[in-house]
Amino acid sequence: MPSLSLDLLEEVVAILPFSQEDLLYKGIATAITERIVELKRANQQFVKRYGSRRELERKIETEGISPDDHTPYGDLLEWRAIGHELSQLMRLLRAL
Amino acid sequence: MIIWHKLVRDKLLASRLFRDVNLVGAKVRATLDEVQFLDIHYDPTTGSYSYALIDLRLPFPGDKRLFGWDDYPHEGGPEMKALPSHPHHFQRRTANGRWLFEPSPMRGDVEKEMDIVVNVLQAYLARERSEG
Repeated sequence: MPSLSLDLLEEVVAILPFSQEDLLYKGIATAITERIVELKRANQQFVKRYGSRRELERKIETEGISPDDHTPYGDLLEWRAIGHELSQLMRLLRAL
Repeated sequence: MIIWHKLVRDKLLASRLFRDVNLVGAKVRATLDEVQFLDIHYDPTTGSYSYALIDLRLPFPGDKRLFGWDDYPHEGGPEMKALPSHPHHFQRRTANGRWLFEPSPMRGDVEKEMDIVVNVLQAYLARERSEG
């Protein structure tokens, strides 16, 4: 950690009723939570657009994807990536 | 293990081709200018992918893709099925607006494949500049 950050950390610990380790955990928890909120927001937009991931998969199976418009396919890939990342972040959050 | 979008962002940023490289939801969007951007979609659970250069000036309906690589086996196109890399393919708009499908070296190894994307994009930008 750069010395400026270490100096700041020592100053903060001198004032707040937390240890350096507490602050580190709080920082990690905040970063994870912010990303979870962002992903859940993106997830909700897909729910509004398609209903559920299964419905989007069914739509693609039934209608296919035109070379002119890959949007449903890109959305499905992104939706699955959201689910995967959310599960990783929730696991990390539980481990804290 | 480092998450895929971080590796992709780092590679695209290192290319110095883009004005911005952002994570939008769970896709990476690398902006060239007001009308052109690269969208990288990747599903880490299956390895499926779609990498596309979007040009909002294109007059055609749809997703305004100028060219891109993906692994969706578009139905109904015999030229698609004939590709040796099927379902992996490269598609680009020709001057008359039709799609040209070509074999693709991409297989969903997203970090490594950003090198190919960057090389093709560099060649495209150089061509655009030389044509004025």
